[in-house]
Amino acid sequence: MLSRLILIFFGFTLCIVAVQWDEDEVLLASIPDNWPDPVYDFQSHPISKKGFELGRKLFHDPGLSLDSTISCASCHSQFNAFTHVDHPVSHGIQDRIGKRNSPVLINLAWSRNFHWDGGVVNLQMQPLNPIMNPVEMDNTIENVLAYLNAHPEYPSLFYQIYGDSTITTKSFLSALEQFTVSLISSNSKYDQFIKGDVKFTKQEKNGLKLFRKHCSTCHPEPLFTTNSFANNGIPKDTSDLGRYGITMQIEDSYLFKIPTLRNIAYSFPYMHNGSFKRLQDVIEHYNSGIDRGDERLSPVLRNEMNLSDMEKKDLLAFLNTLTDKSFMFNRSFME
Amino acid sequence: MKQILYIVFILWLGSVCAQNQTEVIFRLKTPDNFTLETFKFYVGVAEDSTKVPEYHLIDLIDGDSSFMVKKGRSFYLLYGTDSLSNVSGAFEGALDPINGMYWTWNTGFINLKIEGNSSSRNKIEWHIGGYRQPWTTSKWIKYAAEQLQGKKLVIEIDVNRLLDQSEVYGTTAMRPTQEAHEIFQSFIACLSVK
Repeated sequence: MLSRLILIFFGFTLCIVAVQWDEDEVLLASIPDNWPDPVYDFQSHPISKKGFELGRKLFHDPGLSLDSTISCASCHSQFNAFTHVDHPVSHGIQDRIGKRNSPVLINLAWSRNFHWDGGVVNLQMQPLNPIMNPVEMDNTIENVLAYLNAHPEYPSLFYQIYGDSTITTKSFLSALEQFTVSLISSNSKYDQFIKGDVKFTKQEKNGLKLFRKHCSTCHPEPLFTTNSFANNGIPKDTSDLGRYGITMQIEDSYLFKIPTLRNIAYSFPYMHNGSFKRLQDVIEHYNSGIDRGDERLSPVLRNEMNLSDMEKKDLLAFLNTLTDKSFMFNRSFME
Repeated sequence: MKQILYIVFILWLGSVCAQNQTEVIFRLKTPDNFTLETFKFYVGVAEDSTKVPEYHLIDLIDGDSSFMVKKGRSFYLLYGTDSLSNVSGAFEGALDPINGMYWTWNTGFINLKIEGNSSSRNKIEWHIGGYRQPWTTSKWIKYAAEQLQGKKLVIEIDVNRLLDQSEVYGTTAMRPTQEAHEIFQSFIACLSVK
């Protein structure tokens, strides 16, 4: 009887260890074999469970903003594919209005540049932008570090990971990056279809065919973005020159980053200025709303799409297969 | 007694080390009618120009204006920052973004920051940076062993000559552009060993 109890006890302990091990591994295990190599080097900068959790705590902490009212998650809400819905452009502290739609935070490990103009080229350094932007968190690095170093929990959490309880710009940004780089979405119905685990409906299959014909030059599988910049025919707004603001090259004016389409059904409104509320409106824009004579227009958009009403529905059905509920409702991303 | 010996030994060691070092000092030659509020720049030290240098943030108004190098040995100074450091993650020390020499909206270091006022000129605000070709804002300069025989190597910056450029480039520069590249080249031309 005693030996059986001991066996049960050890078996139970093993189960706990196995579950914890799985939790540690879940981040890297979610990268499919057929994906390209990520830009982020997971081998030399592995994600630790503690680092991920600390990054998650920072991501949800309004203490990073000047008046402690908004966190990263305020404009990058998990349930909306880590973006800010219902607002064409995002709101910062005291409801100050930004000039662009907050982007989704999905598969950032594969991205070479960040923001609609690609001005930031390193994920670790990216948070400094919203933290210091006057219409976003309007804070300073000094304030953030003072807040973190005086916090009852952070110094010991940083000590456990970095061996130093004094939080620096480097350790703060490294911890935040451990979380943001882990926001990997690779388990949508589309992914399961590619693996052969589920079947597409006739409508979804036809949508995929149309997608590959009309959309995949700029939004290629499996990441659904080229990470480059294009003019997609949104009416010109001279107050935002897009990529030109970074490169100062005239040919880059009115070009904006091509976003991923993963979880697109949840990341409304659409485009850099949030000018479309519904995915149907986006399809209609590409189908019939573009001024094809605009000289800045991406060359691949020169031709009419001429989709029938049925085909528009098929395309929409396919775009909905890019929703990854295991990502959107992943409890490990929650506060 | 032992403690006194230790202290004497440490002081002796310190003086021996100091004798083997030369202090590189930056000095401004500023026109009388001009008040500089900020004059900061990055400078990296390395034995040769293929290595990643050790960076110093020179702050001629409120901070450090010198650093030590090995006496009697040639070395290279990188004025500005190397391109790899511009696109890497966060650094500690001189390159920590907390020092206010980093652009958050357009990745990269502000390699040279000059702000000032005068009665005859407009307010100058030059934040000079950029690592992308062709508008880079960094330059390697070799200093020969013969220049490093003494205790000090003084490098003077002729601000008057530099400010003359404001008539060409305007009084505000805040982006990595051709103008920034050219202002930086003028800055290099205004350096001279005294």
